[in-house]
Amino acid sequence: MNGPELSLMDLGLAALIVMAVAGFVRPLSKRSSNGLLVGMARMSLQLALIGLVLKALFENITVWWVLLVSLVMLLAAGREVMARQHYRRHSLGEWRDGLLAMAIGSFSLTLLALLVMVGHEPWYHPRFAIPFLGMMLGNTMTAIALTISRILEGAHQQRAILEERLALGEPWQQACHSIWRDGIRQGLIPVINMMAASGIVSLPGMMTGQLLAGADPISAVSYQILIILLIAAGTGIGILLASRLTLRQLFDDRHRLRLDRYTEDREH
Amino acid sequence: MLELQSLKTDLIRAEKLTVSAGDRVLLQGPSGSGKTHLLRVIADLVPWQGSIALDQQSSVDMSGPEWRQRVILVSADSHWWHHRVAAHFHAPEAAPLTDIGLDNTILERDPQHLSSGEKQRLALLRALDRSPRVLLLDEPCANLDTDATALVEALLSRWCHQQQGHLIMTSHDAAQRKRLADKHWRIDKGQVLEVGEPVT
Repeated sequence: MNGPELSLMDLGLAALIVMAVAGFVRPLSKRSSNGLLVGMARMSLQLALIGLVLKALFENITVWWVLLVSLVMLLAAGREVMARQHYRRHSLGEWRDGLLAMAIGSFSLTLLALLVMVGHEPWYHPRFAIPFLGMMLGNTMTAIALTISRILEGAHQQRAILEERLALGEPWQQACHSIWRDGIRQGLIPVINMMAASGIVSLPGMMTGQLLAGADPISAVSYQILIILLIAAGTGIGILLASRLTLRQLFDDRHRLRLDRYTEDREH
Repeated sequence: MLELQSLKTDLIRAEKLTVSAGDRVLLQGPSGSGKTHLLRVIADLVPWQGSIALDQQSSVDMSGPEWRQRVILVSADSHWWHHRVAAHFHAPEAAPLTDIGLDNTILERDPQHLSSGEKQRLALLRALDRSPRVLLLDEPCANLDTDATALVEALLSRWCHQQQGHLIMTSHDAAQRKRLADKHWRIDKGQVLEVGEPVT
């Protein structure tokens, strides 16, 4: 790193400010206040761990270790997607759908970037593979969680209309068309906002990191454009897949709406 | 002919029941006895065991949507999703609106601004617009005044007679049951039975 090193004191000061914010939020929402504190602790621990993992990976570069870390990241993302859903099926299928959508959306485009666009030797070098995959997974995870959540809430809110359309002989794909559309819209909002605001309202994280580390701004910008385009494409692929898989699970083979398979999680 | 055989769900069971073409079946039973549930079973909207066949063709030999294009359920409360009534019909111009006391201009209106009685009659026409072989009606006259009820009853009788349709409907109105029914089914402690005379 070319910039000045950060000390533990510097990080501690930032953490103190978050704690103060949690204190102000507490009288209004104890749960949100706890969420901030737990989130801060989790984030620090997880980033410290990935720092150590990356250090170990850099010292011992093999495709298998990179794949193993990628798999752990994918499984953690799959858990996060479902953990915050209001309506749950609590079955293996539920995890499979989110995981599959994320794996295809993130892994395929990360591979494309590493093999075709970045072209570093070896292509799986963790310096590129892990940050690319991390950003792809992080963004597709948010989008997929939003899409699934919107679809499940829409199906519960519009249950009567869905059943009426099915009763009139419509197949499920036609009966739930508006719910599908709303789910796709919801999932694409963050990436569309990100593209609209990039460079004007916000400097994206990867570019900021590179600039802070002393990289050439033009090189940082081109990497940033590449990653945002990949995120947009990966998000689109991920939510198209996730929405299709989620909707299919709402209906059985006879095109009957099966909300009885879901339970409402009142904690979220 | 519509045939139900060895039907079983968590709430109801039925050994053997038949509805001939042109028959009007009135279904009765206390509130919560499973009348609506039985209609939903026949429409294949909920899981069930047994066999249901129309003109000797079993429901499982066709897809759910194919079955429900032949066997249409009209709920007690109708729901609408387009902003124009006409958009819910395949052939809005052919709907016999005046036969049930409605004006053609209603087709251009937003269903949200219609009365419950207007929506109930339109829901019936929306089902007929799909040319079903079986109509399952849940309290089709619940929101209607005497005149509109008479028009709906006449339309249903004509449909059964001329189209050789099969009608199964629920009604809390004992006089209506007597006026319309060719057959009476009763749900008693979950058992669906054909009964000779309407129980008032």
